[in-house]
Amino acid sequence: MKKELPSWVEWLIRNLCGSYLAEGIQGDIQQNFEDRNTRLGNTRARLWLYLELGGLLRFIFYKKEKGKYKNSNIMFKEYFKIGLRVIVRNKVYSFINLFGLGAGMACSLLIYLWVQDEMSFDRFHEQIDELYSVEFDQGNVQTFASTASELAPAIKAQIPEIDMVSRYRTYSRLILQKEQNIFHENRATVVDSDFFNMFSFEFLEGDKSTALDDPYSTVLTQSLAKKYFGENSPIGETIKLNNEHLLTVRGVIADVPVNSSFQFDFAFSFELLKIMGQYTESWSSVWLQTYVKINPDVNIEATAEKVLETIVRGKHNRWDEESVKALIFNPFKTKRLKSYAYTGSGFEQKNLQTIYTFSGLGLLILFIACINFMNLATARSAKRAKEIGMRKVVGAVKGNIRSQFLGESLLQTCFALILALFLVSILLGPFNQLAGKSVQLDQLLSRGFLIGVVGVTLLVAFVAGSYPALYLSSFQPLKVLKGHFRAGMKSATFRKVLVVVQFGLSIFLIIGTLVIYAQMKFVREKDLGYDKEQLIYVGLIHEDTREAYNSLKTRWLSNPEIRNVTASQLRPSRVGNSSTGYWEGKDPEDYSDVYHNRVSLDFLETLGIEISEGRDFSPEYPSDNANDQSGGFIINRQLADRMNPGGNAMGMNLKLGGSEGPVIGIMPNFHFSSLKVDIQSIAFMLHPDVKSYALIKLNSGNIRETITDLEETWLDQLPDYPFEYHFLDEDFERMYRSDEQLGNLLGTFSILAIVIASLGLFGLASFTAEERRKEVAIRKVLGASISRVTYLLCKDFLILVVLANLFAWPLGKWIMGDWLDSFAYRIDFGIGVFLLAAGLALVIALLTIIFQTLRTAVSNPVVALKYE
Amino acid sequence: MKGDHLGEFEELVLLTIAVLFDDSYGIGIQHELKERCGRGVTISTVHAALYRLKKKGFVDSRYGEVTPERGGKRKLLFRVTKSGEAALKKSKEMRNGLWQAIPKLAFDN
Repeated sequence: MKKELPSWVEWLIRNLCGSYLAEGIQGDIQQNFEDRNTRLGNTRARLWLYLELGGLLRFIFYKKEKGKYKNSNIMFKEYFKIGLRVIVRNKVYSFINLFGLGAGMACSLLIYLWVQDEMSFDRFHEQIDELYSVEFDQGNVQTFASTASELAPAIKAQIPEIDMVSRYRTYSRLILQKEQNIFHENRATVVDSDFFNMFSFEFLEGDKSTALDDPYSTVLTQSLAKKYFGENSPIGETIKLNNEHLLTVRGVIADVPVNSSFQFDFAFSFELLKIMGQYTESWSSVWLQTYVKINPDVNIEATAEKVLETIVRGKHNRWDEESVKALIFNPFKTKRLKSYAYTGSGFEQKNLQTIYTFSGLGLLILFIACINFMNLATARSAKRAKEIGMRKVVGAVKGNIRSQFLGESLLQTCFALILALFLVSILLGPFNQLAGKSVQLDQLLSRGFLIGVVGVTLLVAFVAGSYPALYLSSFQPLKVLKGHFRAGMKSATFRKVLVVVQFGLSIFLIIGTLVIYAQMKFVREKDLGYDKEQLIYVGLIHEDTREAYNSLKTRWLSNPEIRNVTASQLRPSRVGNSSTGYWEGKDPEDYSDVYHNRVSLDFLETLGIEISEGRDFSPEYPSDNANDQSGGFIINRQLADRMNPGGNAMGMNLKLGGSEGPVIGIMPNFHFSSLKVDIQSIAFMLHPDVKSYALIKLNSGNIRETITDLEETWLDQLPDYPFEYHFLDEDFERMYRSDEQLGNLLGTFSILAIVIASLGLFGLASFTAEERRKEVAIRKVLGASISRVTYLLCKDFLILVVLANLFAWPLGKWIMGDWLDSFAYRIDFGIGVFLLAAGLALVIALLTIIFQTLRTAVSNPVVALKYE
Repeated sequence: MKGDHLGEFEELVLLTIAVLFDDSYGIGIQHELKERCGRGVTISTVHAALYRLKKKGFVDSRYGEVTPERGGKRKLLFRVTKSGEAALKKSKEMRNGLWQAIPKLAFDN
């Protein structure tokens, strides 16, 4: 009775005994099995089978005899030699391969560095696993990372589960003075005394646990200490803040690492802020961040719940269940990558997505370069078909050929790697500028980077080499050696697909670049609803400067080049203060805040905002002034529609931010924050005492001169205070910096992608041109014109580029549409962008192949045919 | 020297290969051992012995022709090599020498 053995038996025997013995032993076991099946029946035959298989287990310990090919070491040397010769012999192809792979690898290595840098952020804090930032879930995607000032003290007093708490807030525009050294400092941080116990900033001098216990104490970074104190130890010395507070230096820390989320030059405590009168003690206004350290054995969720229930709820209606769903301890380790942080000018989505985008781009370029290698290797396989046939005839098996070609690909990749490392070292500077990074050259020696290098090399060698290896190793020696076999043609379809993919990706990158640039142009040129050009602002940091404002204003305005001067609490580009507004008949479901800014007279005029209903603030109406809990409001159309949908909000009573009064004017909607968010409600109150910026509108004459004049007046009035000004439109530029960077990076990448793809196309074109020399010659002999022949040769490639659009367009539409959706105000891109990208790709492709094609087309047919 | 020592079971297998001459493969050897020597061993034991013999250079192996039997698997055929033959002869001579050295009285009854 015939009975097949189960396939796992064969597999088992092959693995136990090695491929040489396997067949014989399989046969023996099968024969026994069949024999016993007839004599003893299936069950007992099976038992015997298992017994015999068990006996074979001893072969585990025997050395396996695989095949008869024992000269592999010699062959490897030979492969290496052949590999080198192949590179040297075909200089054009080798250049295309090496340059393409090198550029692709350099690109991906740079991106790898960038990603690594991004991921290493904040990891130097020793207790990072126990640190959390306190955030609030508002029931939508965004969490709210800003907290009220009173949260931290309450947590410290009432929640024993939480070890340490510190608030955090940055300050800029402070003045530090030590004797004759007086400077503006823009990187200050205000924290609580636990801060340095929670976060590991290296203390060079001083005691970190007590450094900020005294309100009049400060911690400086090393370079700041040097700036004011020179080489002497500053510990115990005093330094003057804002010309009035004398602070004792209690600690010196090493400069804050670049890859830290917290960036500051010196720190002082919230107690000092209270003394300075800049501390808003309230539960309703959120103006700082709160960080906690919780032991790993404490239940995070339960503690968060406890904090929310026992402390936060009921303190103010902004913490009601309708507006705050939950309190979240967001792990500090991943905060930077995952959170949506509130930055005053709108929610700014953080880095994880950018990391993905960039990594994806790097892989894309690498893939395009790999395709070149695959295409050229298979296209030129005809040249090597005989070699492969010969090898097979003298005994090479598929595995040998495969390892030969994988090895060749590895060899070329290694050369490309050298080129790539060279490129990386050159391009690091421009790359840092482009990506807004400061990756250093010595990071190239780090272990992580070396792992990346080896990883990328192996990946590229494998991806680029696997298809040629599989394809070439499958040649049949007989056909190849007989000469009937057109090796290059067989893989033509596959090559065409690859070219389509290459160009598709390149066209997609071009589309992306065009769309980003168009959107950026749109953002820059969009009418914001007010005039931000030639508008500068000067910080009024100190009381003296605020007091001098009125006389400054009068003196400034005497210059005809200065059109208007006003002051406000917040910069028009950064209106980050918001509170709940109240009015009669307010929809109880309406929870969104109203932004507000306290302004001085002439504010609207200076910004070029025209009142559409009602009137501007005026000195003729003393009741406008918001000094004593009451005053008038000027609101935007959006708020007006909210207050009285369909009706007129003029004269309605509004309660907002501590003031209460009638709406005296309505202005049209204007963009006071990033174009990524919809226009929000905003209200202006007239409050000339609260001002921290002077806004100056200049005529478009000689701006440089006017500013010098402004400065002279300032220094004349306030000789002790530096004059520091900024242009308002620069603020707006800054809001879109990450998008701008993405655009630049994408632009660079798309150029690179198209260059690499064109190189590949060039290689292919020259290959086909050579292949079809005889065909062309015959056509010409029979009377074809040069233009006809050129058309014939170009057509095949150009069709591929046209086909590439088929998938590049939907991809571009989808991904770029997605990106544009991150803007509330966006362009719509139509067929024009697509056509432009396609046209560009087509022209580049044509330019690439035309030279090779023409050379074939104009060549003398006799040259090609004389050997037939 | 362990390398060319011929074990008792190995010697039997080697002799059987010589007996079977042109058709000595796993199962043939297994059956021959059972019939002539009464040694019932599993096929894996036979192959283990063959493996050791081959490593010592006493046998050579080759694959036979494809036949429809055994599920189309070729037989792995074995042949005694010159050094295998030498090892058998040496073993036989050693035994003969020992037999001749036995005093007649020893096996008296």
